Amino acid sequence: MKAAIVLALAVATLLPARAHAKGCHEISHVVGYEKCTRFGMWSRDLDWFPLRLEVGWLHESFPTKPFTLSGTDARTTAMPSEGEPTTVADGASVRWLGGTRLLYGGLEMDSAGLVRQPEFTGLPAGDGTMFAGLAVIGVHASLWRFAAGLELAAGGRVTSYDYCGGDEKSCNQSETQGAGVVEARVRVEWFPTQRWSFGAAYGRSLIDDERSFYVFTGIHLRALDGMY
Amino acid sequence: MRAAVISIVLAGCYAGDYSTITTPFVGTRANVGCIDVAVAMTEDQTAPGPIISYQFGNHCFHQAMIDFTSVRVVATTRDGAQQIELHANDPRGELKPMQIDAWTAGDERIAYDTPHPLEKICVDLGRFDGNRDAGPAWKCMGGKQ
Repeated sequence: MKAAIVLALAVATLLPARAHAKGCHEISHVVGYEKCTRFGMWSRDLDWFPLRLEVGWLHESFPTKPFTLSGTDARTTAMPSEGEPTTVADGASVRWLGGTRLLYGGLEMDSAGLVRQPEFTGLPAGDGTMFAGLAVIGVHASLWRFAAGLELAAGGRVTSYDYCGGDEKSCNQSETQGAGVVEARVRVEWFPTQRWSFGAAYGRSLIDDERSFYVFTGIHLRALDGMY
Repeated sequence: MRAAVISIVLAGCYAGDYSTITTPFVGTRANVGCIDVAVAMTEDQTAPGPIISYQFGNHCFHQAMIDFTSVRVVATTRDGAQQIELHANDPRGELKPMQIDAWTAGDERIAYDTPHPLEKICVDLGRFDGNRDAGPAWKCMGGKQ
């Protein structure tokens, strides 16, 4: 979670700043006499890449592969066999996206803590974590200050299950699982200003029973991502 | 950091009604198609006058054209003896029609060449949005040099 926030701040820092912030001292604001800028900096003809940064809260549930714990005290415990166990994670998602009027794509990094994980008799659950890295591609369209889109996200997810936490060293046990992710999502977005948006997305896996819900805010380099 | 993010979010955003999200346009106003524009006389320490400040915003949900090459500027000399047409001082040849994003604002200051002291300057903004068939829309300001 902390890593995701740091990452988001780092990216925001790297977004283009005004010329004078880089040390250029403007001597005139008249066309032809400007030193740091030039005519038409407001224009879409400058082909600013429609980059956008999204940061949001992610709620995700996904199936857990059966596993067995074998701790330092040589106690071996197997998962309950009835039903397919589900893991639920809440955390942060950071996305860097860009594209054209209709298509967009980019990268997504998810970082979350587990709020539900498989239970073992006599072993209290510790602080499990989930990290995911995904490539995203989608189509979008806007109407007035709203936008909607359909997207496909694919990549990998690593989940680390921890039991007994760090306090009870006698039964400190963990399990790490990796899984592929292929998810279809629908998203809606509202632009209170031209370069700032709020939105939500719902996704379902195309390969297993994973589901996700994502609420986000976005900063856009181009007004409405230039998608009209 | 917070200021940088806020400036990215708000920079160039047109709020409508001749105002960006943070500041209103200054000067004489005109509406030309999707474009709201305000013109005013201004001064500059480096560039010679007269200088006209143009502030504009696109109030449509699609891109629009801004065409400074179509703007005609006519001035009356201070002695009132003659009307002269002024031409933009564009030493780097930058002026050209350009598109502006939906709900985006911009501003430019353009100096005009004249050997005469001026009394009044009038600007025809009728084709400012690139519509070559539009009629004239003259806006006049008191002159300074």
